[in-house]
Amino acid sequence: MSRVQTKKRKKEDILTIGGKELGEMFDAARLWLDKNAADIDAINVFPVPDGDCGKNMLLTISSAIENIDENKKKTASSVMEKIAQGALMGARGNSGFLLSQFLEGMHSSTADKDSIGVDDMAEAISEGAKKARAALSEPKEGTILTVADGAAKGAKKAIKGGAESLPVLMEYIVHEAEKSLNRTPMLLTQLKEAGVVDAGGEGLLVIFTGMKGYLEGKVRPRRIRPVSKREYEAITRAGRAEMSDTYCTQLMIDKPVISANEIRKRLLKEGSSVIVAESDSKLRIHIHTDYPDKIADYAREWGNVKQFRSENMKEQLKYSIYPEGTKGKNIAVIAIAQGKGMHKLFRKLGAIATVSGGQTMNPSVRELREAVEAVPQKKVILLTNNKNVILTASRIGDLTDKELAVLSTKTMPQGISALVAFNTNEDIEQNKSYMQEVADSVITIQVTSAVRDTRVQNIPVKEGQLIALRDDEELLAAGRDIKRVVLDALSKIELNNIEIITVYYGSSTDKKEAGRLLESIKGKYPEKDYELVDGHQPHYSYLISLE
Amino acid sequence: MSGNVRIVTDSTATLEKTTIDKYGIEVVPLKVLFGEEVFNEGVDIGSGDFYSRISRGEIPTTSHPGEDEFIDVYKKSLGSGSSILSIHTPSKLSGTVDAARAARKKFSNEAIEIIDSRTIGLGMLVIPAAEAASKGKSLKQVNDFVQNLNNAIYTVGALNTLEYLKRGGRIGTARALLGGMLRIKPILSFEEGEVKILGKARTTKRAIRSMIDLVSRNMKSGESIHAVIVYTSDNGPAISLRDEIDRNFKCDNLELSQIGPVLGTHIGPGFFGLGFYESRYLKGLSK
Repeated sequence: MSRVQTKKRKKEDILTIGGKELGEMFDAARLWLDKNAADIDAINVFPVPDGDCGKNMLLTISSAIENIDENKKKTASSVMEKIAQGALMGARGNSGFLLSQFLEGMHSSTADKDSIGVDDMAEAISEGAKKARAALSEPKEGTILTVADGAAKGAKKAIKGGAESLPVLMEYIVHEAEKSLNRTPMLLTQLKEAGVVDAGGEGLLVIFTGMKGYLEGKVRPRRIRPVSKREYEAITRAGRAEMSDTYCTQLMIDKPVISANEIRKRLLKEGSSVIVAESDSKLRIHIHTDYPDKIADYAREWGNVKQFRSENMKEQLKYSIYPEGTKGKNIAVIAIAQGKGMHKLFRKLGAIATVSGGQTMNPSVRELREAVEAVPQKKVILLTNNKNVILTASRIGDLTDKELAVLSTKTMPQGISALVAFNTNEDIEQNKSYMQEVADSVITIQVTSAVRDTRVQNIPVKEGQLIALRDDEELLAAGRDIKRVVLDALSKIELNNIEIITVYYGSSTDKKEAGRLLESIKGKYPEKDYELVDGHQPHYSYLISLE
Repeated sequence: MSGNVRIVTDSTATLEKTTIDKYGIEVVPLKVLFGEEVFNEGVDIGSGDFYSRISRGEIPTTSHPGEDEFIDVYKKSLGSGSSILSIHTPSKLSGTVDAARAARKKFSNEAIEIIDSRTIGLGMLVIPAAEAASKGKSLKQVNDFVQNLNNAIYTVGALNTLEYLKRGGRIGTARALLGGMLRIKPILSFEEGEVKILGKARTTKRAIRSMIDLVSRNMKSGESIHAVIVYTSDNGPAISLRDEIDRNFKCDNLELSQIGPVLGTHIGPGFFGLGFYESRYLKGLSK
């Protein structure tokens, strides 16, 4: 194992790396991804705020790095194993999941290596690409898989061309991966329409670039394809709405210099769930905020800070289990849900547990597995309720001894109808097929605001405009007026066989406005049955299900 | 006593007048009350009138016939030399059977048999019973035949709301909550005359699909069936159900029948379902 010097290094110097360097190399890749994640999110093609591809990949690789054992004597294979394992458990979203598969491929090809040389690395990259592709039953081109294949091609070329050091190998890999990435718009119409490259592919390229940078001694990550400022801001805005009040922050102030009331007023501007309790000459403070550092700064001005504790609530268990047991075949249904109204509804309809997550915050493999393990039932049906969760959820079956059925419900309303069809007297297989059939028969219209200017299916969409999508795929209508957008969307759907129209209004929607919208739909289609539900979901001002 | 069996039933059977006259069936009316107003079911309140009143939010109650009414009817029939088969609405839904049983105790002979039906489609038992009686079968023969039919009957339906069952104390509150949400239609069966919730569906289409499934599962021979589609206020879903039953099964008899005010009070508007038995159970009749 040749030692790596962080600074003065020539490309041809590094012939092999050991476990320690391997870990550092992926950590460098993580830093690069961190720097580029928001740019990647911004090019997520769909104009809805699901621009979470960069975030998902970042969380996935972070979980991989965190899993590396600090103290152990490290061989390359042991580190790669930890990386693969950590990536899988932390995998979120489709690109995060495919990244974890790529790393798993790298791990299996280096399983017995103390150190990794040029040939090993080339082989590992090829295996990674194969493994990622094998994870999908219908692999698509113009995606992260295309870029992974490009990297594999680069690795082969490098070996053929006689590359003798790791930095040279990585240069080939990055070069070919980038060429493949630039081809993605030609392979996928949606990308071409939106005028972007594939976001997951770009994420993978950033990782390779970070690995290359580490081997070349370039420690400072840079943004490789900065998006426009406006797009960048729009996407961060959308992301922020979701990230709100992430940290549960608690502190105690001894001998405060300002009143509890004054402090309460200040805190209310910084977050939610504010509690300021006074006892003796001490103040206990509790707040959910995105800016614990700011709170700490304030607190120092307010008096003697005695204890300060801040926990990331998103890192805590994100599921709740409801004690009501199931009868009959004793099957637990777990639903992934977003919005307190939706959580409540799933629970009322008989879900034993709900896991928070969905749009822009896909739950990780670990979170899903924990929820599956935590319910007392041995048989579990999991409702994914978001198309970006299906792939990660599909892996849980291998990670648990429980009998698990994953229903690929793409939207929450699909999940709700599936749950209604759940029958405690039937076994898990029968339930799975009937519930899936019911879910698939539900049409969901999602109404949200576009986070960026784009074109979808030839319809120009402006940032901030309302858009109505069908089943997360087809753009039905866009415009400024909610009533017109929804009626326009409905007019494009065959409604003859539809009996019930359910309108779930979101956290940003006023109940009265929702009522008025419902009345206008009723006016147009008086023969249908209607239901108005406070879903309180984020992102979508309305979810409208037709069944 | 052989031959000459008189069939007694109650108004929940909603028999046509021609049928009643043809077989000389005695029908004891149950009562529907809207506040102070008292109506005899099938006599002075019709289904149309009844369902339009509950759709306006009026809340009816019901009362079953008293022991005395049965004593009178039984006395009359026994006096004319007949024996009696008295077939009534399920005891889990109404006290009618109890009143009939109490009345029977007043008569010392064995010439009265009482059947506690397992279905809300009472006509499915009463008409074959009357047919058997008209062929001169003995009370024991008719009774055995109808008991067999009664055991073979399977009744399923979809409710619009559990509110009415709950109001009448015929189902627990917890289960009733479910029915109130999201237009969920509970799918239920009447087994042993008792209401059981078997599943749920949001749309009529899926409710029908569940019922078709339940009929298939409860068919033993896979032969032809005798079915009655029942509904309370709205015949639309019932007609769709009838068409689907017709498409999926070989039906010797398939008719549509509106449920009367008394059972309508307990199961509420918007209910539709069916009762069926396999036709082979009717063969006892021709022997």
